[in-house]
Amino acid sequence: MHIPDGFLDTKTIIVTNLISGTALYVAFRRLNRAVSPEKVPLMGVLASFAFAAQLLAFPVAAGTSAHITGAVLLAVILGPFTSLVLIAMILLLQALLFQHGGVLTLGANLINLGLAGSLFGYVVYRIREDFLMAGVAAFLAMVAGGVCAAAELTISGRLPWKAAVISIGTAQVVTGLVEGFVTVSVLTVIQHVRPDLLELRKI
Amino acid sequence: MRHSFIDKYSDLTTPIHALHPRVKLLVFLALLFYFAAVPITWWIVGLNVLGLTLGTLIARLPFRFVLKRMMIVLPFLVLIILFIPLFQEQSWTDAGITAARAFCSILALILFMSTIPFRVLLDELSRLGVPKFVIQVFSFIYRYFFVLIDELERMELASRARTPNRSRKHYYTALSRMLGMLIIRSYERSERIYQAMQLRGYDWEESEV
Repeated sequence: MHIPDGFLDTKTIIVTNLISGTALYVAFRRLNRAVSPEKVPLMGVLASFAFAAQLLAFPVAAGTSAHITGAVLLAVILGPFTSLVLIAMILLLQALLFQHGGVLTLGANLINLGLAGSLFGYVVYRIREDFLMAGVAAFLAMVAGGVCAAAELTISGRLPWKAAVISIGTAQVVTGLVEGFVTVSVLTVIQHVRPDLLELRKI
Repeated sequence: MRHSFIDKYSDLTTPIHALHPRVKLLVFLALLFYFAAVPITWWIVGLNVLGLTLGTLIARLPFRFVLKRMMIVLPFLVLIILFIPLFQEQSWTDAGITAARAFCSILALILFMSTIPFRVLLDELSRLGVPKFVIQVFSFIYRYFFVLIDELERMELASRARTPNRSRKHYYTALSRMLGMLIIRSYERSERIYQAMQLRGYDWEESEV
């Protein structure tokens, strides 16, 4: 769920960007303290990976398809703050290059995907650190993100709350199931092929 | 494998391309704010669309290219327009205005991104104080995104060649495995890249975008 420009009003744009900006600032502080230059290619290539993975459409019922965000996946592998920063960059690029989402709505979209996925999703995952829980976390993160998006649209006065929650909520439950499934299978593949990738330092 | 490069048409020589990148960036942001915040009527919408269309003409962007870019979001807009009036609180006009705001923003976005080379945009952002780390990661994405898309397409092709008749369940598993392999290959690629960079004398402190 990427909210395009023009769908949010000024007060929502300002508030959501302030919240996301603060979260990003904290994430950057953490990263700056812990990340060495040799991590730049790793981050760059993994961001490209998430970017490319989002272009892969998973067919859902009736000709529609969903793509994954990979926020929880990246959080499990690299840690929540790294994941948040990567998701923010991907959102900006998607908005600029593919008109997917918007520029002023970046803050809102980062709440829906990054804060809900990378941070909330990671907190859920930490309850019991296994792959199944990661899948559950990915599902819950998508639903939570959908509810946030519905709230943002309602506060902007663009959609009535009930309509927004029902439409976006349903869509997010479906994409959440896909996201959860993909998160579990990708983690399983990594466990089989390069288990050491799951032992990286999580920031 | 064919790609439409992300900043295609950004190296033309037209008055809009020639504008200083910072001016362009500020005008673009101001436009977005304007489309999002100012209460508009159909009159103003018409003028905006006219102005933006004039912009794309001056920038000599092919009509089909702009249309193709618009097509990515158009279905979403149509869905919203049809959906909002189903709930009585809001009228068709409201829905139309919301869609018009989004439409103008997208047109502005296409115009902006097609008249500024990505590298120049990164330079400008870096001068405006965006951390070096972010700029470097962005330039990595710019360089390696296509490589990974190629890799994904190769894997998809190979997988289709091996299993001609896939059930949906198999397709899901196959796609997820592919993503898993892609993340591993990406990781290994990043290790090779860093080694190559070091061998060529890469220095974080002195590196430029």
